[in-house]
Amino acid sequence: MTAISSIPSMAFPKARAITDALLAPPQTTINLRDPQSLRAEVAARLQPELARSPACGELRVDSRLLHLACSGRSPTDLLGPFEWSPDAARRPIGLEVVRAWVAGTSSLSAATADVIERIASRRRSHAREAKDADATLSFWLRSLPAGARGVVQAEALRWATHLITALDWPAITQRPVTIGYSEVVTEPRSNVVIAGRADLRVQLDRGTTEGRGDLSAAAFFVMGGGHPTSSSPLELGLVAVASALARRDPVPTRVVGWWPECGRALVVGIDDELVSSTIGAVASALSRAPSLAFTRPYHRTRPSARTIHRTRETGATGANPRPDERRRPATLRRP
Amino acid sequence: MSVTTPRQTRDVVRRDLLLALRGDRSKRSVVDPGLAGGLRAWLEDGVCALGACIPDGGRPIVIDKRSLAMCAHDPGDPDRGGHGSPTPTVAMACGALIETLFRQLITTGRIQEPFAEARAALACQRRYRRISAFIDSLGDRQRRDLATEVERQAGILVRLWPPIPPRWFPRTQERLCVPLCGGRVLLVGIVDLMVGVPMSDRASVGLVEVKSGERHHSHRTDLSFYALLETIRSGAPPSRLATFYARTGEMDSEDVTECSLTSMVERVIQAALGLARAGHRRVRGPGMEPPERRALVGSST
Repeated sequence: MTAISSIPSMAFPKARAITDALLAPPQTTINLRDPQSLRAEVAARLQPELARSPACGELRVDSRLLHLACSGRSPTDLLGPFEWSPDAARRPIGLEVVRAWVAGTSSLSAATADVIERIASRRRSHAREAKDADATLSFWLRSLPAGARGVVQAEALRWATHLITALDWPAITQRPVTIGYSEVVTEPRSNVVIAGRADLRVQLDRGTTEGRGDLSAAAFFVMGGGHPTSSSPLELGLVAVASALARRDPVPTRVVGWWPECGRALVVGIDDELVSSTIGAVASALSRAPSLAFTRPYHRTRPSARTIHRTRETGATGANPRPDERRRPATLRRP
Repeated sequence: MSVTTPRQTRDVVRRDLLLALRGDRSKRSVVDPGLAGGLRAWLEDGVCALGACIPDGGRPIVIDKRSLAMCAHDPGDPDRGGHGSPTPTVAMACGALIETLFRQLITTGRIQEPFAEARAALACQRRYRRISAFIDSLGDRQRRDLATEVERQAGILVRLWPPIPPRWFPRTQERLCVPLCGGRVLLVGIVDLMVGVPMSDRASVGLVEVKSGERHHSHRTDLSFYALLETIRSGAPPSRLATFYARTGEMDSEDVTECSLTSMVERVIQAALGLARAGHRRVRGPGMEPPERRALVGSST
């Protein structure tokens, strides 16, 4: 049975309670099936839904699409071409601001302005490459008048403040941390992309493994808007599914979801059952809107992922990989 | 004898504004760890009967400042169109423009071309689409008058609002959302400015609303409602509530008391029951896009 718990809303200080839940040593053994078997299940469960409609464009199944499908609503509004907006831009910009803050910047407001300026002036020569997330964001930011750019800055600042105040950072940064994590897995025959993302990936201390197999040693932190719903565990599980399919890093032992607007947190343990339920929810999402899904391409560009490593011994901060050093998305293969 | 230059006068006013916002630290209330839980339990008890009226996945009852005013038979702030006006008005457009300029000032520290910048800010936000279209539809003279008033009020904002210290973690347009009864009842609000982070010992958060019109008694009610939401959300009540009037440069501020929170609980319960009786029609701001879509999305964004 998947372990799902919530952090009491009266827990104080909340940042400490959330951080303790995030960094707790792994308690359960995670014996997820091997990636091949998992891919076979994904292919088997998605195939009937995919067979109903011809694939005309890329369909990206992310937590928003999953949420809409689980709540029984039509995801029509998600299926148009992706366009940048202050709401869409706050996360990628906010992540950069949090990285700057972790690196020692004291004024979040100044850091946000710097980040926006840096992104806007980045890679001018490639700004017309519409498939590149950084380039399109850069192009969009440059096209904004001052007032609209102020809104983008305010949204990003608010988002970054939520992330910063949600956690006890001295405890977090003692470990290898990835600020902004995303895993995108593509099924080439169907043009379905499973996109999972987390705002933070933290390496955990490995628990004892005597006779219980390998304990996963990572945890994810995801920040959401609004309030948690009955489908939230599945939405949180999506990043674990993408991670389990890609298997570049250890599968997370848990995902902590935090909804700052309502002050609630969910802690979801990752196991086979949750992974299976999430794959089922993805299939269900496709079955609810196949005709809509494949009539118009739905592109969302992949946010950049950077890593800050701070070793306990030296306290040194490692460099993030350059964009051209990032690995290409993993691909689902036929079983 | 000390001579006060205009610059010094401005600095004194700015300092006073920050002091008013911060309040007397020694008088800040001690956080009662049971208060927020008690308020939530009270609200849950009051609205639990509504659970049977709304099926799982049904449209929730959304309570915001407008529905609160409507249920209290309060005509609402006329400068915000009350709660019955079907179309945006010039006063509401002015309010939206000043709200967004205030946000820009707090975030970036500057306003250069008030009217043009505020219009660009509204145009890029879905929730202001109707207000933005309304401003576009104004005649030249009306638009010029609006621009003059916005520039005048923006001048007051720039003159009186100092930079907020970074350690106060200022955030603008802060959204608050308290789901009750398993998500069947939603209490929602957007605060213009929030400063400070909740602490476990003393109340330490300040809420600020900016108004472009005249004083109205509903402004205090709005802030009390937001104080209740913040208390339940974070577990600690805010310490200070303030309303800044950009028209005159005045600011009303007060401490948060347990009494104001408990009286607001009663009002919210009555509003929820009243809306349920009325078939829980959603009350929406005349110039606003439906916020329920935003409020209900629980996925990560």
